[in-house]
Amino acid sequence: MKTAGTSEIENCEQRLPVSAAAWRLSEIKFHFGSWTLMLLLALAVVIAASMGAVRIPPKEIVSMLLNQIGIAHLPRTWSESHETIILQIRLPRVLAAALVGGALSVAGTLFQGLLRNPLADPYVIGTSGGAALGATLGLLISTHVSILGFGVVPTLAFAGALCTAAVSYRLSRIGGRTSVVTLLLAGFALSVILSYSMSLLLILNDQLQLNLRALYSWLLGGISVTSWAQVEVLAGLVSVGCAGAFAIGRSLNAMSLGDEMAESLGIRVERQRAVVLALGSLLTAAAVIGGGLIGFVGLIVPHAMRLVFGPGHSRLLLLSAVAGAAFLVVADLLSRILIAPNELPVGILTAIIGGPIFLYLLRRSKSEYRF
Amino acid sequence: MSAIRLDQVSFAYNGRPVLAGLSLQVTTGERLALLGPNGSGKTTLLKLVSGILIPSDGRVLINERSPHSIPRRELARTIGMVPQEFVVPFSFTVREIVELGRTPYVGSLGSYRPIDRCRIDEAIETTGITHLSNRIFNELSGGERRRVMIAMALAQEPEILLLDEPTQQLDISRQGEVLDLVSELNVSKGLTIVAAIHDLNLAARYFERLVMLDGASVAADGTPETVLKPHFLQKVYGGPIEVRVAPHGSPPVVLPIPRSVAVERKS
Repeated sequence: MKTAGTSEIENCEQRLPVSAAAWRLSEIKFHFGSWTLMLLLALAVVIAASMGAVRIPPKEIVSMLLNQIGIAHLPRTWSESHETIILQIRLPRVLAAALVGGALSVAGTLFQGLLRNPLADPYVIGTSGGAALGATLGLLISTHVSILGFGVVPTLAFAGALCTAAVSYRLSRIGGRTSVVTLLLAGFALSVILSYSMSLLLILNDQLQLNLRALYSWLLGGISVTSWAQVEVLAGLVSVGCAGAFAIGRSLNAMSLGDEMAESLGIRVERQRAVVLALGSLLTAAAVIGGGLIGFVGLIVPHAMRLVFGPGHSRLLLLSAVAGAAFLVVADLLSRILIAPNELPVGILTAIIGGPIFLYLLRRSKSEYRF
Repeated sequence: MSAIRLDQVSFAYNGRPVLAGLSLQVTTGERLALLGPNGSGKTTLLKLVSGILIPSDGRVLINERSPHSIPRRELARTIGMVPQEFVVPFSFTVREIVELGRTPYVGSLGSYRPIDRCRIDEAIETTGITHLSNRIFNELSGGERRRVMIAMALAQEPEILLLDEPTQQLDISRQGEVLDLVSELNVSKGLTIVAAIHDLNLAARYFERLVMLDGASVAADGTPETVLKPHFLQKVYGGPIEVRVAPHGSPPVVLPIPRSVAVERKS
């Protein structure tokens, strides 16, 4: 049997080869990085909640939160209206932004890892087209039915995203095996077919043309969550997706060596690929229900994290989740306050702020970025 | 006990037969080189043994069990595969690549236990790549990459090591180094080794048993002296070949005969 006695392990630890020392160093870097990012996320949440038409001091917000969670019982030094604004209006929105940002970044990391393609983003297997068509149909129906607190537009967009992902996967399966190239191309073709079907609907339907502005801003993305009930649904979907993603993260490393190598390392490649696609699609659809089609976050956050912390997926997924959440909280804040009382679509900001940061990281790395 | 047994194995790629009725037995602890012209099915045979491919006819047995009745993870602890080359799309460090060899031991959630780290360090040390362990795998030379790939397979703690053209694209000293390493693993750790090799002279020098594949089956099987016969090689490879018998029990040396020389000899 291949078991080693404790003495053997101790010997091994005592020798402490160079590689192990370096391994510890990278471990430290990862822990430092992840804690810093979590701190930044907490900071971003508090600041985002404090800014708006009424400025509420961050100190008050922290006290309110501590009281709410039950950690402390601080005397109330703030007005009731402030408490209502924070707890009932701003916090649900800020948390939704964090959830959507995290979901998009984790989905992007999953798809980039699985498809081994640096241009992969959460929408790569056609989900954006399906979501857009779903949203358009939602506008066409324009009833006020709500499903789990969500209106008909986000619900149909969610369904559209999931269905498209399923169809892409089905199309790419030939003789019991999935081809990554076919999946990419099928996703692209589906996305084109569905987007242009949406355009066709727009041209043919007069009623839709009245809603063009609403549709356009939905397509550019914007956090539309306004209630705790919606946050709960979103949090449920995102937690399931993220927990699954963290659990299978390590196998993505082995799968990046190609199907045959992954199999000879003991991974059941076909099953694992289906799981990764399902998790990525669930996260993407969750992001769609909370914020429409927000571009760029899911593409650049994973790359930025890879540039700083290296490509190992179990770490990368966690770091991307936190960084993506913080990034979208900031972008959503700016979308609310820059042209207040009007709002900018958040997709514009993720591209305009995120793009330059990403380009800076890309140029800063000393050697050529090898993905 | 036979570590690997193939009984009347046939395999075809899209209807084109590659192996037909091939039988072969490899005893535990043996060191065997698979020879044969391009397309003779060397790589296919390795993939059948590692369970990546399923034979269309006949059966493959690993330690007397069919690879497809063994759970994938358990199989990965028995057989280590070193492919010709693998393309790594991400800039993993050498240590990260070797760590992947522990995949069949760690659960997807679990982190590396001390024993895993111990095996990773051991594999790195055995293959002599300690100084490379923080380098980016993709930036290494061919010979260095080959060592890392072997280290990854060793971290799997396999009983059987399959190598596909381990010396391809290496200079003569690196070829020797890699095959020395493979021989050492065979002698000191008792690993059963099956390596597909193009170079007949390297195979003769480093392996006790040569198996020549030709015509979708085993054409010859034995020591270098019995397999490397000029008429047989000319038939298999279809060209003028000379075999020089070396003195003092050294393996024979195989060389192609240049056309000018061949014409001269005939006249």
